[in-house]
Amino acid sequence: MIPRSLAATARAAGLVFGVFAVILAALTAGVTGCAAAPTPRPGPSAMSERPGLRGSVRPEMGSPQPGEPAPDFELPALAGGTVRLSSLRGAWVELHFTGTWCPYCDVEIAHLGELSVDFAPRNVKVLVVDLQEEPEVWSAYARQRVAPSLIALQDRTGAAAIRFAPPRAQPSFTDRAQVLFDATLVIDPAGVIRVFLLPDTAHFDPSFRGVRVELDRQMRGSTVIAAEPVRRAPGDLLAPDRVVDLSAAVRPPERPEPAEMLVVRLAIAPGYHIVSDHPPDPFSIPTVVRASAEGLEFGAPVYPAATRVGALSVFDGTAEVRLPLHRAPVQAAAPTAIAVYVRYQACTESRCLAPVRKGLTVAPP
Amino acid sequence: MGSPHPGDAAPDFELTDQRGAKVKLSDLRGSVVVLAFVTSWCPFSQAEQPHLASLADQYRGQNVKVLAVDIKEADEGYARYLARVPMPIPVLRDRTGEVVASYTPDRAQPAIKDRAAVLVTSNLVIDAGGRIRFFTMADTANFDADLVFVRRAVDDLLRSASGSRG
Repeated sequence: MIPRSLAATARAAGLVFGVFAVILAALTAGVTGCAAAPTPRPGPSAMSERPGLRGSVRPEMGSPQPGEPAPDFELPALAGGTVRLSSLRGAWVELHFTGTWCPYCDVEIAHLGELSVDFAPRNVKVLVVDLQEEPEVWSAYARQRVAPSLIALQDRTGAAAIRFAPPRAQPSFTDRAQVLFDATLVIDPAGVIRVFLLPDTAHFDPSFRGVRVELDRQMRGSTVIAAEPVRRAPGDLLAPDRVVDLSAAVRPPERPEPAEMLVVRLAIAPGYHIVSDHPPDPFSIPTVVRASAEGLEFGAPVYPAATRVGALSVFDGTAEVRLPLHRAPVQAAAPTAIAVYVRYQACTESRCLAPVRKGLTVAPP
Repeated sequence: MGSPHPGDAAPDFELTDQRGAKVKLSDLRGSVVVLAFVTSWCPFSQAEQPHLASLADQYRGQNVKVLAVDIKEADEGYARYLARVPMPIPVLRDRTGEVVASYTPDRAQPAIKDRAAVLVTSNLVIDAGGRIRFFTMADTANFDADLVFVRRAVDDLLRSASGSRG
């Protein structure tokens, strides 16, 4: 039984916004939960304020973010053969990018070995990926410094790392793979990113104390595929994750659109609306639709026209979001299933529910 | 974090630049000195490098000297740094890391045993009297690739110098 408590805070902006905080407290001496202090805003940015989790990617940096599917990769392992990230589904994964020259990484790597031993009984795999170095440099270093309990991989070109680089993180870096040096991710058994830390030298945490606490917290908190635990709304409101029914399909090219389209349909329950993709109120949480798949590239999502309700910008009824889809060059592997990620905040006339994240998988075209 | 910090005298050193010329910090008294600790392998140093070069151009004709110090690199790494961007400034070579380590505050990044490595991509501004007036250690989460804060510190020193003269 996971103790949870729900704290709601009200905020007047023509509507009442419900803000829910889920607190997972340790089961000690009959304590089954504790009240959360009202927080002004939820969201991934709060993670960067948590001790030990400084350096968390911020929403304005762009994808990938916690709550979104981790990009897949297949990389050569020092132990021989290759390891594909998606083949580790069902286990928790800590993924760390390193370079043998990086003094911060070098301090961390011993602690990473300890972490992998401590968490191995709980089905946590720890992957350490060397970035952009000669294989002999990495293997010589790894013999000395990398514990056998770690899964040691190499991304020679940085092609895997680039897929993890949020476009607006370290904008001065022209080689985008370098953004990932010393980065740490926690990926859940469904392949969803739960923690994504970029290096923060001013708050250097060489022994991963913050990550350990967060990993423990997340593992207790959820075994479901959705990035957030399912929550019941108070009163007779629908649970926030039930307000929108998701479906998606790939549509062949149609004039005047030359590309194939992934069409994601959001069927919104009667009596509810969701915040549009571009609300004028900076405190509103916009709808976000993203998609990813091996062997496919997606263009920017095209959202439908929003309805204006007073100062609000919303979708209601059925909203179709279209993402142009391009096939990668022929030498790439056959496309895998498309992972679709949707975040929305639903409201009625009188109140808003907690924002939710939902996902679904679509067969490849 | 311990010394040195802004307000302290900058530790003196003498190092050799890419043309073989010796540069002694204390010989530069009377000028504002920008001191950047760099390596070829650090992505942050790399991102900062063109801005360091342009800093020298920006303050040309003013009483500002810009120096880079390459930390403990083999010939290959030092050459790679020099080849990447034309550097109109002395790129000094600290082969042992001793000079750089003399700038490392005692309690900064205690987990890092190589004390010179703590200062990779750190920047200082030293006033005409040889005192440290600005000192940022590598701060990856608030990375200032354009050296905006270094320029501000230099401008402040130039302004106060011209103010005291006039």
